[in-house]
Amino acid sequence: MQASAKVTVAKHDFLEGLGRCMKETTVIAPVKMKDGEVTFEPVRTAKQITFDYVNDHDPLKRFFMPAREELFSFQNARGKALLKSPPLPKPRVLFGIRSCDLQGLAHLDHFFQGAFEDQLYLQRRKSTLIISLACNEPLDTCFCICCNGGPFLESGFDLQLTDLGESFLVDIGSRAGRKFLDDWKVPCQTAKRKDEQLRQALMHKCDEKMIPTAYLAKACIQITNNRVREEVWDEMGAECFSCGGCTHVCPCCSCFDVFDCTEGETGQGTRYRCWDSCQYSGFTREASGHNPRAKAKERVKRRFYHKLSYAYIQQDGHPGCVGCGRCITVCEAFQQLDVPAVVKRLRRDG
Amino acid sequence: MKIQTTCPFCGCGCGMLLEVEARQVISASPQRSHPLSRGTLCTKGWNGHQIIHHPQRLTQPLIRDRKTLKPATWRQALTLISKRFAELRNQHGAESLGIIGSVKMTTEEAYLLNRFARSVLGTPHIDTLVRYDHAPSVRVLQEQTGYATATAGILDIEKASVLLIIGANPKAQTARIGSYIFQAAKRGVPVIQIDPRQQEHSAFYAHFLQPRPGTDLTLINAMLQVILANGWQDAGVLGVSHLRDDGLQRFTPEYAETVCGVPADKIIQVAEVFAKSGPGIILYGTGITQQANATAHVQALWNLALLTGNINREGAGLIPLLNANNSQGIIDAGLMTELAPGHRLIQSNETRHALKKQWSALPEKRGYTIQEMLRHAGGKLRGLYLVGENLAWAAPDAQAAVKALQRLDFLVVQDLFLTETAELADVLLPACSFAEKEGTFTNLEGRIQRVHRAIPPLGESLPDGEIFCRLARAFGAPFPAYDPKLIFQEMQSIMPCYEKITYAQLDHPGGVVWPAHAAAGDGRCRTLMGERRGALVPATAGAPFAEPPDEEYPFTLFTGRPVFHRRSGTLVSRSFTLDKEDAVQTVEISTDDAKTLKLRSGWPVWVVTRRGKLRCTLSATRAVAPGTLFLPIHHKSGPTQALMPATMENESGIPEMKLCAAKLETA
Repeated sequence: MQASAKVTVAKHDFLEGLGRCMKETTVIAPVKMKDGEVTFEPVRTAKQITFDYVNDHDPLKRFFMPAREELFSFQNARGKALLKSPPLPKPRVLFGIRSCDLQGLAHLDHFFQGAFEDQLYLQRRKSTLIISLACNEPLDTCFCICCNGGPFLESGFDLQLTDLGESFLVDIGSRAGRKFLDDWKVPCQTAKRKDEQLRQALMHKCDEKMIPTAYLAKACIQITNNRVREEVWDEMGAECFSCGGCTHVCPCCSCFDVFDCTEGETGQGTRYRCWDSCQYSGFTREASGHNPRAKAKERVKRRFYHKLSYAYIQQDGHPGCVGCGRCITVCEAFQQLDVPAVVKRLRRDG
Repeated sequence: MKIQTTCPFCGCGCGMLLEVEARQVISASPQRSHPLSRGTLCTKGWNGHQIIHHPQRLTQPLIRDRKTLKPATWRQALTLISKRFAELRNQHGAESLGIIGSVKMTTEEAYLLNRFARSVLGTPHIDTLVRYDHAPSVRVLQEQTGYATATAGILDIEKASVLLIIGANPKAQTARIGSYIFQAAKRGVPVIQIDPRQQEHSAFYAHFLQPRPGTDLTLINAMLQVILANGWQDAGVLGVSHLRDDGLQRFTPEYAETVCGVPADKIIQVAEVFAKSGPGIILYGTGITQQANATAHVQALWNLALLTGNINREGAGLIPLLNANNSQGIIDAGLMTELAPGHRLIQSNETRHALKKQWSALPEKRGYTIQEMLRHAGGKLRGLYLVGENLAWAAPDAQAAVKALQRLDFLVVQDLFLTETAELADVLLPACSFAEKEGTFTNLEGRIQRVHRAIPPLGESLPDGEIFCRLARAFGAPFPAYDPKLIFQEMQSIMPCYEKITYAQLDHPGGVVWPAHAAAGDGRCRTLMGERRGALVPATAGAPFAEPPDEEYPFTLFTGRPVFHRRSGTLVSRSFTLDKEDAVQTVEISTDDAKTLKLRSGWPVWVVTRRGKLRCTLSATRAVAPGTLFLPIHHKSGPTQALMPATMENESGIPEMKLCAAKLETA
C-alpha cells in the first residue's frame, strides 16, 4: 500500500460506511453541544456527527493521554504488593480530527516512544484508527501554516478526508485505512486529476485566509542564542496568571505527574497520573524544597525554550507547536502569552 | 461525555465542562461560549475537579460514640439530630439552636436551609461565612440601593474609563476579573491600585499607592476631600454640603500623607484621575471589609462612587469581590441573620407579608451572627448545625472558635471531608460535591447559572438540599422530595429580583443576570434602584484598628489570598495539583527589615501574635513596606486566621481579622 494512494468517496457513502462501523466499534466524532460548541465524543449514529466546526476547544490528545487516568491499582497481600493494570483499550475510530491535532499526536508519539515506551499511551494509539478531516476554513486564531501543522498533512493519518462538496477526497495513509474502506464496504473511486486540483485550490484558499502571525524562525534564533533580554521575560512572568491553560490545551504538551490514592491504612489504592503544567511552581520543585523555577518568569521562559529552541527542535524533530491557536483563546493574560504573541515579542527584541 | 456546569471556586462564575468517563470526572475544561470566561479557567478551575473522587470523601453518615465517630445509617443520623435538637428546643427554647450555612451550596439549598431554620426549627440564629467576607458590603449596599449586590456587572469593566482596585488581589482571588482589569490596563485604561502589598500586576497599572495597613479610610476620605475642594464632583449629586460639613475638611492630602504614608501629590493625582476620566468602577475586597470600621470603609467607597457620578451609569459602579462561588446566591436567599429572601430585612413587616404564604413561621427579630454564636456557645446557644465550613481554620482566633464548638451540647457538621471542625461533631453528614448535584450558583454580579449533575452522588453522600428536606421531614415538616427546579420557582414567587426568569434560560451560556427585566444598555443598577438615588453618608469617624503594633509586637501583620489557595483549603488541599503548589507557608517581610533583623529568605521563623504562633518560611521582598508582615490565608501547615483577632465590628458583625500586631521569632 502506498501512503499516497487517493480515492474519492461520495459523502453519504462514507457516512453510511462509518454508520456500519459504529455498530461494532466505538466511533468518536465531532458533535454539537447544547451551547452550539463542538466536542468530540462517542456517537451511535452518523446523524449525530456535525461538520459545522473548525475544532474542539479541548485538544484531542485527551483520547490518548486523559487528564486523569488510572495507571494501576495495588493492594497489600500478606506483605506482597499485588498490582492490577486497567483493562486494555478496545478498538475505536477517531473521526474528524483536524491536522493540527494529528500533528500534535506525532509529537506525543515521539515523547512516549522515547527511551521509555509508555504502554498505556501506545496501546491507545494502536487501538485507534484515525480518520482526519483537513481544514478548508481556518479560525482567525489558526496559524498552522507557520508550524507545518496543517491544514493538510502528508502522513500520520490512516485516512485523510478533504471535503470537496459532495464527496471526500480520501488519502489512504495506512493498511488499516484501506482495510476500513474494505471492511465497511465504502464504495471508492480512483481520484481524478481534477479532484487533486480542487484540493490544491482549497489549500491555497485556506492559506490565504490564514493570517500568518507566528514567524517562528527569528524567535527560534533569539531563544536558541539566548538573545532575549531578561526584562522581556520579567514582563511576561509578571503578566502570567499561572493558570496552566496554555499547556493543558497544547496538543504537543505531554507533561504529567503521578499520585496515589490510598484507602486509609488498608494498603489498597490506585496510582493515577494527571496532566501537569510547567507553568506551575510545583512542577519543578525538588525534594529538598529547592525550586529552580520558583518564579513565573522562569516558567514562562522554560515553556518557550521547550517550544522554540533549536536543541528541542532537534530532539523532537519539530517545534513544540502545531499552530492550533488554542493558547490564544485560553490565556487569562489576554493575547500576551500565546505562541504568536510571544513569537512577536521575541522577534522584536533584537 | 462533557457536562456543562459552573465553576465552584470563586465569585466569577466561569463556565466549565466536566468530562465524565465510566462515572468518573476525569477533567475540567473551559466553556468557550461562556460570555464571561470566554474559554478560560484559572488554575483552580482547571485542577479543582480532583477533589471529587478524593479517597477521603465522606460517603456515609457518622455518629459520635464517645471519642470516635462511627458509621451509621441516614435514618439513625437524622433521627438522632431531630431528637437532640427537639430536646434542646424544649429545654432551652428555639433560640438555643443555631445554623451556619455554607457559601458553596446552591442557592436553592441555601433557601431551603433558611426555610428549615426559621420556619421549622424556629431559630433566628442563622448565618454564613459571607459574614467574614462582605457583611459591611451587604449592609451598605442594601441600605443604599435596596439590594445587597454589586452595582455594576463584570463586563462593565470593559466599558469603564478608569478602574480603582482597593484591598484586593483580583489576579489571585478572582482571576477572571483580574484578567479583565489586566486587559483594560493593556488598552491604556488608567488603573489605580491601593494596597499595602505590591502585587505582580501592580507594575502594569497606571497608579499604585501603598498606604500603611489600616489607613484606607483616611486615604479614601482624602480623595473625597480633594474632589470636593476642586469641584470635580458630579454636577447632579445631592447632599455634598452634608458630607463636607461632617468632618471631611480635615482629611487634606497633607494630613492623609502623615497617616497613610502616601505622598499628598499622589493622592491629588489619583483623585483627579478617578473623578475626571469618565465612567469608573471601584473593586474592593476583604482588605477593606475585614478592617476596623469596615462599614465606614464601604460607605466611604460608596460616597466616592456617588460623588463622581459612578452610580446608575454604564461602565461604572461599585463591585465587592465576593469570595465564594455562591456568596451572592446566599445573600439573595437571605441566609444571613439580618436578611430574608429577596434582599429584605428580616425585621420588616413587608418581609412577613411576603413570606407568610410559603413559610409557616418566621422569627420576628434578627439573631446571632457567627461570632455571636461562638461567643454564646454552651450558654444561650446549645446546638449548632454547621454546613460545609471549617470554622476551626476559617474563624479568626480559631483556637477560641474550637473551644466554643466544644462547649456546645450538640454539634452537627455536614461536609465532604473530615475537616478539623468535622472531627468535633456529634453527627457528621456526608454531602456531595458540585459535580453530583443540580441547582444554580449566582456569581458576584448576580448572574444565575446552572450547576449540572455529572455523576451520581458518591457512596451514600447526598446533595445538601436533599439532606435539608429529609431533616425537615424528620421534624415533621411537610417538605417534599428535593427538586431544585420547584425550589427555584418557589424562590421566584417571593423574590422579586428572580422574577421573569425561566429555568430554561438559565441553561444558556452565562445564564441570566438578575433582574431579568433589565433592558440591555440600561444598566442593572438603575433598574434595581428605580427612583432611588443613594445618599452620601459621612464616613469619617472611627477608631484605629484594635491592635496597633507596640514594643512587644512591633510589626503590623496583614493577610491576603494566594493564587493556588482558596478559603480554608478544605477543597484545594485535596486537589493533588493545587496542593503541591503550596509547599510551605511563607511570610513576607520587607528587605530592609530582614536586613535589620539579620534574617534571610528561606529561613524558618515563627510568626507570633497574641493568639498564637505559626511556623513559616521567610521571604524578604520589596513588595511589602517596612514594619509590615504579609501572610497568605491559609496553608495546610496551620490556619493563618488562628493568629488574627476576632474583635467584632458592631455595625455589620464582621470580625476585624485583616490586621493585627505581630512579632517574628527564629524557629
